Amino acid sequence: MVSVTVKAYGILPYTSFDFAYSTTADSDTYWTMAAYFHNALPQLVKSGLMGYFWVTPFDAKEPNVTMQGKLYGEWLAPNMNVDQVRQHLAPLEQQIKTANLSDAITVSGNGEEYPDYTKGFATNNPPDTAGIPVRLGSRLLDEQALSKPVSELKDALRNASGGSARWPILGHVIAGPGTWSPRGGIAGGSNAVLPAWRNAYMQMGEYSLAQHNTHVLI
Amino acid sequence: MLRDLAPGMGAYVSEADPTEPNWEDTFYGSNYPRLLALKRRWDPHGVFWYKNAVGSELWEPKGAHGIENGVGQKPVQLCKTEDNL
Repeated sequence: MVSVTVKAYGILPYTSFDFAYSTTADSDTYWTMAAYFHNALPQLVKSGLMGYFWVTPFDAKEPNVTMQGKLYGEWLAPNMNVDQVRQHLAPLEQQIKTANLSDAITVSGNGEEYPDYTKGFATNNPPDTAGIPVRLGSRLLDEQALSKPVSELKDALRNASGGSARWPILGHVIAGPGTWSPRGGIAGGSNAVLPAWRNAYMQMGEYSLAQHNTHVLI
Repeated sequence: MLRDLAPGMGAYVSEADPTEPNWEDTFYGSNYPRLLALKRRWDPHGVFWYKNAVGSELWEPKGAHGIENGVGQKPVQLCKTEDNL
Protein backbone atom coordinates (compact mmCIF):
# COMPACT_ATOMS: atom_id res chain seq x y z
CA MET A 1 0.00 0.00 0.00
CA VAL A 2 1.47 3.31 -1.03
CA SER A 3 -1.43 5.71 -0.57
CA VAL A 4 -4.48 6.11 1.60
CA THR A 5 -7.22 8.67 1.10
CA VAL A 6 -9.61 9.41 3.93
CA LYS A 7 -12.78 11.41 3.48
CA ALA A 8 -14.12 13.24 6.48
CA TYR A 9 -17.74 14.22 6.87
CA GLY A 10 -19.43 16.57 9.28
CA ILE A 11 -21.07 15.35 12.47
CA LEU A 12 -24.65 14.37 11.76
CA PRO A 13 -27.38 14.69 14.41
CA TYR A 14 -30.20 12.18 14.22
CA THR A 15 -33.12 10.61 16.02
CA SER A 16 -33.38 6.92 16.82
CA PHE A 17 -37.04 5.97 16.94
CA ASP A 18 -38.17 2.54 18.13
CA PHE A 19 -41.63 1.53 17.00
CA ALA A 20 -43.92 -1.48 17.32
CA TYR A 21 -47.32 -2.33 15.88
CA SER A 22 -48.84 -5.37 17.57
CA THR A 23 -51.98 -7.43 17.08
CA THR A 24 -53.15 -11.04 17.01
CA ALA A 25 -50.57 -13.46 15.62
CA ASP A 26 -50.75 -14.36 11.93
CA SER A 27 -54.21 -12.82 11.63
CA ASP A 28 -55.86 -11.05 8.72
CA THR A 29 -55.47 -7.87 10.77
CA TYR A 30 -51.76 -8.53 11.12
CA TRP A 31 -51.09 -8.97 7.41
CA THR A 32 -53.34 -6.05 6.47
CA MET A 33 -51.39 -3.88 8.87
CA ALA A 34 -48.13 -5.16 7.39
CA ALA A 35 -49.38 -4.29 3.90
CA TYR A 36 -50.30 -0.76 5.02
CA PHE A 37 -46.81 -0.41 6.44
CA HIS A 38 -45.15 -1.45 3.18
CA ASN A 39 -47.44 0.81 1.15
CA ALA A 40 -46.22 3.70 3.30
CA LEU A 41 -42.51 2.97 2.91
CA PRO A 42 -41.83 4.95 -0.29
CA GLN A 43 -43.21 8.13 1.26
CA LEU A 44 -41.40 7.52 4.54
CA VAL A 45 -38.12 7.04 2.66
CA LYS A 46 -38.71 10.19 0.63
CA SER A 47 -39.25 12.07 3.89
CA GLY A 48 -35.73 11.08 4.96
CA LEU A 49 -36.27 8.05 7.18
CA MET A 50 -34.17 4.92 7.01
CA GLY A 51 -33.99 1.93 9.30
CA TYR A 52 -34.69 -1.71 9.92
CA PHE A 53 -37.81 -3.60 10.88
CA TRP A 54 -38.96 -7.13 11.62
CA VAL A 55 -42.10 -8.69 10.28
CA THR A 56 -42.79 -11.17 13.07
CA PRO A 57 -46.17 -12.84 12.59
CA PHE A 58 -45.79 -14.81 15.81
CA ASP A 59 -43.67 -13.63 18.72
CA ALA A 60 -43.53 -16.52 21.19
CA LYS A 61 -41.91 -14.30 23.83
CA GLU A 62 -44.96 -12.01 23.99
CA PRO A 63 -47.35 -13.24 26.73
CA ASN A 64 -50.27 -11.09 25.58
CA VAL A 65 -52.04 -13.06 22.85
CA THR A 66 -53.54 -9.87 21.42
CA MET A 67 -50.00 -8.60 20.72
CA GLN A 68 -48.14 -11.68 19.48
CA GLY A 69 -48.19 -10.55 15.87
CA LYS A 70 -45.58 -7.81 15.78
CA LEU A 71 -44.10 -5.48 13.22
CA TYR A 72 -41.37 -3.57 14.98
CA GLY A 73 -38.08 -1.86 14.34
CA GLU A 74 -36.00 1.28 14.49
CA TRP A 75 -36.12 4.36 12.33
CA LEU A 76 -32.93 6.33 11.90
CA ALA A 77 -33.74 9.93 11.05
CA PRO A 78 -30.79 12.19 10.21
CA ASN A 79 -31.30 15.88 10.91
CA MET A 80 -34.70 15.29 12.52
CA ASN A 81 -36.00 15.53 16.05
CA VAL A 82 -38.52 13.17 17.64
CA ASP A 83 -41.52 15.34 16.80
CA GLN A 84 -40.58 15.43 13.13
CA VAL A 85 -40.32 11.63 13.02
CA ARG A 86 -43.75 11.34 14.64
CA GLN A 87 -45.20 13.72 12.04
CA HIS A 88 -43.88 11.56 9.20
CA LEU A 89 -45.32 8.41 10.80
CA ALA A 90 -48.68 9.99 11.63
CA PRO A 91 -50.51 9.20 8.33
CA LEU A 92 -49.58 5.52 8.53
CA GLU A 93 -50.48 5.23 12.18
CA GLN A 94 -53.75 7.06 11.61
CA GLN A 95 -54.56 4.57 8.84
CA ILE A 96 -53.75 1.64 11.13
CA LYS A 97 -55.87 3.02 13.98
CA THR A 98 -58.91 3.89 11.87
CA ALA A 99 -58.99 0.98 9.41
CA ASN A 100 -61.68 -0.82 11.43
CA LEU A 101 -59.87 -4.15 11.22
CA SER A 102 -61.24 -7.09 13.14
CA ASP A 103 -58.52 -7.25 15.80
CA ALA A 104 -57.16 -4.46 17.96
CA ILE A 105 -53.76 -3.00 17.09
CA THR A 106 -51.41 -1.55 19.69
CA VAL A 107 -49.25 1.27 18.33
CA SER A 108 -46.17 2.33 20.25
CA GLY A 109 -43.15 4.49 19.50
CA ASN A 110 -40.35 6.12 21.43
CA GLY A 111 -37.55 8.29 20.12
CA GLU A 112 -34.25 9.61 21.37
CA GLU A 113 -32.20 12.40 19.82
CA TYR A 114 -28.44 12.08 19.38
CA PRO A 115 -26.02 14.85 18.42
CA ASP A 116 -23.64 12.48 16.58
CA TYR A 117 -24.85 9.69 14.26
CA THR A 118 -21.67 7.63 14.45
CA LYS A 119 -21.49 7.66 18.24
CA GLY A 120 -25.22 7.13 18.66
CA PHE A 121 -25.29 4.16 16.28
CA ALA A 122 -22.33 2.58 18.03
CA THR A 123 -24.04 3.02 21.39
CA ASN A 124 -27.26 1.38 20.22
CA ASN A 125 -25.61 -1.33 18.13
CA PRO A 126 -22.74 -2.92 20.06
CA PRO A 127 -20.54 -5.55 18.41
CA ASP A 128 -22.60 -8.55 17.40
CA THR A 129 -21.93 -12.24 17.10
CA ALA A 130 -20.96 -13.72 13.75
CA GLY A 131 -21.42 -17.01 12.01
CA ILE A 132 -25.01 -17.76 12.96
CA PRO A 133 -26.11 -20.86 10.98
CA VAL A 134 -29.18 -19.50 9.22
CA ARG A 135 -30.35 -19.68 5.65
CA LEU A 136 -30.76 -16.29 3.99
CA GLY A 137 -33.05 -14.96 1.33
CA SER A 138 -33.16 -11.52 -0.24
CA ARG A 139 -35.24 -9.40 -2.55
CA LEU A 140 -34.91 -5.75 -3.54
CA LEU A 141 -38.22 -3.90 -3.69
CA ASP A 142 -38.95 -0.76 -5.69
CA GLU A 143 -41.80 1.73 -5.38
CA GLN A 144 -43.93 -0.22 -7.83
CA ALA A 145 -43.69 -3.36 -5.70
CA LEU A 146 -44.37 -1.49 -2.46
CA SER A 147 -47.40 0.20 -4.04
CA LYS A 148 -49.17 -3.02 -4.91
CA PRO A 149 -52.75 -3.48 -3.64
CA VAL A 150 -53.11 -4.47 0.00
CA SER A 151 -54.48 -7.91 -0.90
CA GLU A 152 -51.47 -8.66 -3.08
CA LEU A 153 -48.96 -7.44 -0.51
CA LYS A 154 -50.64 -9.44 2.25
CA ASP A 155 -50.34 -12.66 0.30
CA ALA A 156 -46.77 -12.00 -0.76
CA LEU A 157 -45.59 -11.19 2.75
CA ARG A 158 -47.35 -14.14 4.35
CA ASN A 159 -46.00 -16.53 1.72
CA ALA A 160 -42.50 -15.10 2.16
CA SER A 161 -42.72 -15.83 5.89
CA GLY A 162 -43.47 -19.45 5.14
CA GLY A 163 -47.24 -19.24 5.64
CA SER A 164 -48.11 -21.25 8.72
CA ALA A 165 -44.38 -21.57 9.51
CA ARG A 166 -44.52 -17.86 10.47
CA TRP A 167 -40.83 -17.16 9.99
CA PRO A 168 -39.70 -13.61 10.66
CA ILE A 169 -38.59 -11.34 7.81
CA LEU A 170 -36.15 -8.47 8.22
CA GLY A 171 -36.67 -5.30 6.23
CA HIS A 172 -33.66 -3.11 5.47
CA VAL A 173 -34.85 0.36 4.56
CA ILE A 174 -31.47 1.42 3.27
CA ALA A 175 -32.03 2.67 -0.27
CA GLY A 176 -34.16 5.20 -2.10
CA PRO A 177 -33.78 8.65 -3.64
CA GLY A 178 -31.20 9.72 -1.08
CA THR A 179 -28.79 7.09 -2.31
CA TRP A 180 -29.69 7.36 -5.98
CA SER A 181 -28.76 11.05 -6.00
CA PRO A 182 -25.68 11.21 -3.85
CA ARG A 183 -24.39 14.46 -2.47
CA GLY A 184 -21.08 15.44 -1.01
CA GLY A 185 -19.11 12.75 -2.79
CA ILE A 186 -20.89 9.81 -1.17
CA ALA A 187 -21.36 7.23 -3.90
CA GLY A 188 -24.34 5.41 -2.41
CA GLY A 189 -26.37 3.20 -4.71
CA SER A 190 -25.79 5.19 -7.86
CA ASN A 191 -22.77 3.10 -8.80
CA ALA A 192 -23.96 -0.28 -7.51
CA VAL A 193 -22.92 -3.32 -9.53
CA LEU A 194 -26.53 -4.51 -9.57
CA PRO A 195 -28.53 -1.83 -11.42
CA ALA A 196 -31.68 -2.70 -9.45
CA TRP A 197 -30.26 -0.81 -6.47
CA ARG A 198 -30.88 2.39 -8.45
CA ASN A 199 -34.62 1.75 -8.20
CA ALA A 200 -34.73 -0.01 -4.85
CA TYR A 201 -36.23 1.42 -1.70
CA MET A 202 -35.38 -1.49 0.52
CA GLN A 203 -34.12 -5.02 0.81
CA MET A 204 -36.30 -7.68 2.38
CA GLY A 205 -34.29 -10.47 3.95
CA GLU A 206 -35.36 -13.80 5.30
CA TYR A 207 -33.46 -15.57 8.04
CA SER A 208 -34.65 -19.13 8.19
CA LEU A 209 -33.44 -21.10 11.18
CA ALA A 210 -34.40 -24.29 9.39
CA GLN A 211 -31.81 -26.77 8.25
CA HIS A 212 -29.46 -25.86 5.43
CA ASN A 213 -31.05 -28.21 2.97
CA THR A 214 -34.29 -26.22 2.89
CA HIS A 215 -35.07 -23.50 0.41
CA VAL A 216 -36.06 -20.04 1.48
CA LEU A 217 -39.37 -18.78 0.19
CA ILE A 218 -38.78 -15.08 -0.36
CA MET B 1 -43.84 -14.28 -2.83
CA LEU B 2 -41.77 -11.12 -2.96
CA ARG B 3 -40.12 -12.25 -6.19
CA ASP B 4 -43.51 -11.96 -7.85
CA LEU B 5 -43.98 -8.43 -6.53
CA ALA B 6 -40.77 -7.19 -8.12
CA PRO B 7 -39.81 -9.59 -10.92
CA GLY B 8 -37.52 -7.10 -12.62
CA MET B 9 -35.48 -6.24 -9.56
CA GLY B 10 -32.96 -8.57 -7.95
CA ALA B 11 -31.40 -9.54 -4.67
CA TYR B 12 -28.48 -8.49 -2.49
CA VAL B 13 -25.91 -11.18 -3.18
CA SER B 14 -24.27 -11.04 0.25
CA GLU B 15 -27.52 -11.85 2.07
CA ALA B 16 -29.30 -13.97 -0.50
CA ASP B 17 -30.27 -17.58 -0.98
CA PRO B 18 -27.29 -19.48 -2.45
CA THR B 19 -29.74 -21.61 -4.42
CA GLU B 20 -31.34 -18.54 -6.01
CA PRO B 21 -32.52 -19.44 -9.53
CA ASN B 22 -31.26 -17.33 -12.42
CA TRP B 23 -28.67 -15.89 -10.08
CA GLU B 24 -26.60 -14.18 -12.76
CA ASP B 25 -29.43 -11.76 -13.55
CA THR B 26 -30.71 -11.59 -9.98
CA PHE B 27 -27.37 -10.60 -8.45
CA TYR B 28 -25.66 -8.73 -11.28
CA GLY B 29 -28.40 -7.70 -13.74
CA SER B 30 -27.46 -6.35 -17.14
CA ASN B 31 -23.83 -5.99 -16.06
CA TYR B 32 -23.25 -9.75 -15.97
CA PRO B 33 -21.88 -10.27 -19.52
CA ARG B 34 -19.27 -7.55 -19.01
CA LEU B 35 -18.36 -8.84 -15.56
CA LEU B 36 -17.95 -12.35 -16.92
CA ALA B 37 -15.68 -11.11 -19.70
CA LEU B 38 -13.50 -9.39 -17.09
CA LYS B 39 -13.45 -12.53 -14.98
CA ARG B 40 -12.33 -14.64 -17.93
CA ARG B 41 -9.58 -12.17 -18.72
CA TRP B 42 -8.15 -11.56 -15.27
CA ASP B 43 -8.86 -14.87 -13.48
CA PRO B 44 -8.87 -17.50 -16.22
CA HIS B 45 -7.98 -20.29 -13.78
CA GLY B 46 -10.75 -19.53 -11.30
CA VAL B 47 -8.43 -18.83 -8.38
CA PHE B 48 -11.14 -16.73 -6.72
CA TRP B 49 -14.35 -18.74 -6.57
CA TYR B 50 -17.46 -18.91 -4.53
CA LYS B 51 -20.94 -20.02 -5.42
CA ASN B 52 -22.85 -17.35 -7.33
CA ALA B 53 -19.75 -15.21 -7.88
CA VAL B 54 -19.15 -14.00 -11.42
CA GLY B 55 -17.87 -16.94 -13.44
CA SER B 56 -18.68 -19.54 -10.80
CA GLU B 57 -20.78 -21.37 -13.37
CA LEU B 58 -17.53 -22.20 -15.18
CA TRP B 59 -16.70 -24.60 -12.33
CA GLU B 60 -18.82 -27.39 -10.95
CA PRO B 61 -18.51 -28.26 -7.26
CA LYS B 62 -18.51 -32.00 -6.74
CA GLY B 63 -18.91 -33.65 -3.37
CA ALA B 64 -20.94 -36.15 -1.42
CA HIS B 65 -23.08 -33.90 0.73
CA GLY B 66 -25.80 -32.60 -1.58
CA ILE B 67 -27.04 -29.07 -1.98
CA GLU B 68 -24.66 -27.35 0.41
CA ASN B 69 -21.63 -28.31 -1.58
CA GLY B 70 -20.24 -25.11 -2.98
CA VAL B 71 -21.92 -22.89 -0.43
CA GLY B 72 -18.87 -23.12 1.74
CA GLN B 73 -19.88 -25.48 4.49
CA LYS B 74 -18.46 -28.69 3.06
CA PRO B 75 -15.24 -29.54 1.22
CA VAL B 76 -15.73 -30.05 -2.49
CA GLN B 77 -13.73 -30.43 -5.66
CA LEU B 78 -14.08 -27.79 -8.34
CA CYS B 79 -14.18 -29.22 -11.85
CA LYS B 80 -14.28 -27.39 -15.14
CA THR B 81 -17.63 -27.33 -16.88
CA GLU B 82 -17.91 -27.94 -20.62
CA ASP B 83 -18.05 -24.17 -21.24
CA ASN B 84 -14.70 -23.83 -19.54
CA LEU B 85 -12.71 -26.54 -21.29
